Amino acid sequence: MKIDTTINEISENPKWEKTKYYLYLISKNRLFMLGLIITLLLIAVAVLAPWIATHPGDAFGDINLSARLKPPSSDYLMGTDNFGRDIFSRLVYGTRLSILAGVCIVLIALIIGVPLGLIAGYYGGKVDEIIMRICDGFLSFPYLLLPIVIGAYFKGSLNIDMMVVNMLVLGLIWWPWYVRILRAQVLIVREHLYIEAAKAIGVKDSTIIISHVIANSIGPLSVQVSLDVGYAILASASLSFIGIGATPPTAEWGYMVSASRPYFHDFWWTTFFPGLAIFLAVIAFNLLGDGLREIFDPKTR
Amino acid sequence: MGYYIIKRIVFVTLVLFVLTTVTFFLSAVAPADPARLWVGPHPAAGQVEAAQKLLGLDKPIHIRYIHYLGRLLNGDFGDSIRTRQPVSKELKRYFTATIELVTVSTVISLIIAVPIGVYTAFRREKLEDQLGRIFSFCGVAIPIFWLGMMLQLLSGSIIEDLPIQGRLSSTLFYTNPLERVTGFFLIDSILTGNWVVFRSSLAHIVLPSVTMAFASLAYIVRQTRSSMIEVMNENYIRTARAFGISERQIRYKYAFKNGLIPVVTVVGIVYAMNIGGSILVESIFDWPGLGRQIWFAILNNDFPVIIGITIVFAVICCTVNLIVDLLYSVIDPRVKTAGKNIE
Repeated sequence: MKIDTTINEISENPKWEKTKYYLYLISKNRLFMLGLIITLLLIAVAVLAPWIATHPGDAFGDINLSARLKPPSSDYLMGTDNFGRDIFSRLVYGTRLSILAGVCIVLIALIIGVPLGLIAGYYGGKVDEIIMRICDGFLSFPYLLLPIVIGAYFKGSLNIDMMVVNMLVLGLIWWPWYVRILRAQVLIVREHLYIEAAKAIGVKDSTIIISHVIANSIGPLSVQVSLDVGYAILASASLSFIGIGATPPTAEWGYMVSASRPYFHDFWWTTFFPGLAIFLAVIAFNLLGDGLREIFDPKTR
Repeated sequence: MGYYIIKRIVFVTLVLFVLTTVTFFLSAVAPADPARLWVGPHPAAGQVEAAQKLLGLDKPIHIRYIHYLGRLLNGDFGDSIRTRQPVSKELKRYFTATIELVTVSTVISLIIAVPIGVYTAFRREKLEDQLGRIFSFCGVAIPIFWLGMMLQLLSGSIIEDLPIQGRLSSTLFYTNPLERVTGFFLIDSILTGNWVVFRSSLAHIVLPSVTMAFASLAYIVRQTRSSMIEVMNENYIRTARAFGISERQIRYKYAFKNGLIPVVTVVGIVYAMNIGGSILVESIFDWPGLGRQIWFAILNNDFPVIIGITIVFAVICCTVNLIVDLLYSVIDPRVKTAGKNIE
């Protein structure tokens, strides 16, 4: 008897039904699962770095010149760099910085972009026009050019960590995409009858926006966020590679590739593994985002 | 149409004005002091003050700002701190190399990616489509600076020896000097019939342009594929099927034309992507273009050069996008006022 009632309760709970349906879709999507597994592994590596790294000190400026540029071996899984530091350990610690950068950049973009998108879409008119033209202005620059220019001005300053500058400048150019997504969502949701009804019974603008518009945007937003964390990791590494980002002896993937440039012709592992790490991280978040898109958007299914 | 062009030009001018203003005030608060950079690391007594006077840094900030804007309007970007040459001279010198590289790589990525996009759209959900998808994932995730370095390694060992640095073998400057006509080595060498130089510059452009093209491949494949799929679902295609027209004809005669129209807008976006990518690719392949110069400038805190190249890059992108929008309205008569339907 008792079991019967619980089953009835569950099936009468539409929210649980919906969740169950999404869980089913997720479990069926193989690429998404692959992305999820790699992402979880990367997070695990970042958290457990001190226990995974075989030479933890090498990530923080230990130098061992007697082990310079050694090829991969059982002692140094991915070889050593020009200071004799274990590349594997440095990569493991670099995971922390890269994931942090990816998340921070997207977070900054969300904090700026989401409210602006809501305002532009909900109020329309002049406000909308001004916000969208500012977005167009930001988007009319070639990829990475703006962060490079702004970042270059902070180079040489001793009181600011360049990695912080790296994340800030990237976050500051990333938000227009979120303005566009949110605005488009608002325009769709605004037409719904229940919004009109809510307005008619005198619900406050802020309540409508928060409870209806944002709730409806979770799908497309989560797709974009997971894709963007990957792209942000790549952009952050690219900026570090150019010289706007991590400074020695920080273990950061993009900087490691850049530092290996004088040696890689003869010692391939100094470049190969850091680049592979970037590649893997970006692909993981991409699979995640693409999977989410298939789950939330019935058209692509 | 004329109204639209004017509106676009006003918009671009406004964006450039804001950019130059922001960079100007950034340089005023930046930790790096231009006068100190100008005189070098170990200035003698009074040298810094003299440099301040020379660069006009002793004047109040609003006067400096007005002077700066006036100079920019005359195409004077100041002097490079590193080379002491006028920035405008450097821009002219390195401009064509970047345009050549970016154009060649845009063409390469279109030639590779458009057929893949069309093909995978026709083979939707089949094995080829899945392979294309995996290829796309790899394309967007690969760091191009790393790809460039890996190709350089391969070029030495596995694949045939391709030059990995520069634009031309340095000995050719003496043995077969190239007459400058347009500044594009590939075109100039054909015009002057200088085949040795043509071969060499073609060989030199292969690796950097392929590296650069890789970054935009996935994007073009995705756009082409979704556009083709959309067209294949249109009513007129169904009608054509009902009339018993062969699938082959439907695909390559009816769907193809409409499906490829949106790909035109992709060209503008890809060009802008490649301009941005030139900073990474040119620095790796030592390609003597604006991208490499801006990288040098960043390493040396050479702000006048950074601003100059940024402005040139922005102008190139806006011009290309304007041309693309105009082309779009010519190709697709449904778009009466170009740009209105393009987000």
